[in-house]
Amino acid sequence: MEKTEIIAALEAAGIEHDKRQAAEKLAALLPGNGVQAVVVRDFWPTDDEEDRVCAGQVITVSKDDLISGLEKGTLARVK
Amino acid sequence: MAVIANTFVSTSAKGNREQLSDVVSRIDPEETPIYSLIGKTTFSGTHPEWETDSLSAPADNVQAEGDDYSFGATTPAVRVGNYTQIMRKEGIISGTQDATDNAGSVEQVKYQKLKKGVELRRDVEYSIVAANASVAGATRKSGSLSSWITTNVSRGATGANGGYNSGTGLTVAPTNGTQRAFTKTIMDTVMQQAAVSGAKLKHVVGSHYIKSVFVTFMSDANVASFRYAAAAGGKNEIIATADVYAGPFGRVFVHENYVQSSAAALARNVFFIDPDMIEWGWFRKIKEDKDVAKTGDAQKFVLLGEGALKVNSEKGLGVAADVYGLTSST
Repeated sequence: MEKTEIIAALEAAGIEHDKRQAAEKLAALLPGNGVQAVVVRDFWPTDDEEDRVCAGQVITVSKDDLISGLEKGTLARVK
Repeated sequence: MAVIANTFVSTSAKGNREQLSDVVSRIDPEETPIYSLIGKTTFSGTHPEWETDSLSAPADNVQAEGDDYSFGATTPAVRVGNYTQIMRKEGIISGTQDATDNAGSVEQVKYQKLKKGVELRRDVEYSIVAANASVAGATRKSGSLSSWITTNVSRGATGANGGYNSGTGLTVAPTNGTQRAFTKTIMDTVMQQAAVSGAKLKHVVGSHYIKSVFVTFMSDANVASFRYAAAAGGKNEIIATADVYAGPFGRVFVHENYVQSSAAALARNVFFIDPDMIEWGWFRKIKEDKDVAKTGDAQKFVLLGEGALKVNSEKGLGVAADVYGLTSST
């Protein structure tokens, strides 16, 4: 199911949500897609300074990376 | 050659005096570069707090003629704090031993107190350069320097910042990344970040190995070569050191830190310091507890201090983390 289909389904069900936010949340739950996470502490996925991921950013990560980030305290779930 | 019979030799003697020198060598370094560089303050409690403030980002500021005023929200200062850490050294020496004529007096109370005092000062340096979070409660711990710095930072792959957590009131220890070689690029990166943040860095402190790597920066293509006049017939010197780095983003003194060189976990960080931005605060300055009860035929002594690191603004500091600090691969 694509994002547009999810939005259409929400509209058809009469659910009033921020379309983009709802679509992203639902899309993240689909198998094979990443999940949204908030960066709590700056981290460096690679050795390159340019790749610095700053606190406050919302990023899409795999479920495994989210679990690892939650354990390290570098990521938090998007509320 | 032979020894004539009945020659009395020293190995047969019973009364020769021992030749134990009164000079006792203790060359362990006493220097504590960061603790010595930074200012000292006093705290009046175990949980000192202070505020940090910052300017808003520059913006396009254009107003219409005759416009009525509108008032933006005032951003409050950020309140941060640390916890004081109790540090202690103690000793007990029997009355007999204290009275015994002892070579160099090293096993006597007076000398031991002096030595433990120096050791305590090195422990303060350790608490600054270690990588630990602050801890509240009865066994409090001062959040170390690397747990504060989050802005001017370079880390290895998979490394993550620590930082002050306003929710818990504690600092978080940084997450180690993959170690890499300390390079001029890393140094310039941190100094550039610091310059952009408004920091005025004056000192760089790292392990002895880091200093040896720093010296090799003089061979970099973008560094002006040293030129010294060689005197004919004179004693000429090979110059293979440097203590000051004048880079594109400032001029800093580079110091080696014996405490950081003592362990791999401490040697992996290189600190960039503006001494106006950090202080060590004492709640109870290091002194002898004179009220230790005397029991038995022995002299006891306890030296004790309680203090914490005060980071006035972490934006005025920097760290190059996850670098090889002991050898080219550790």
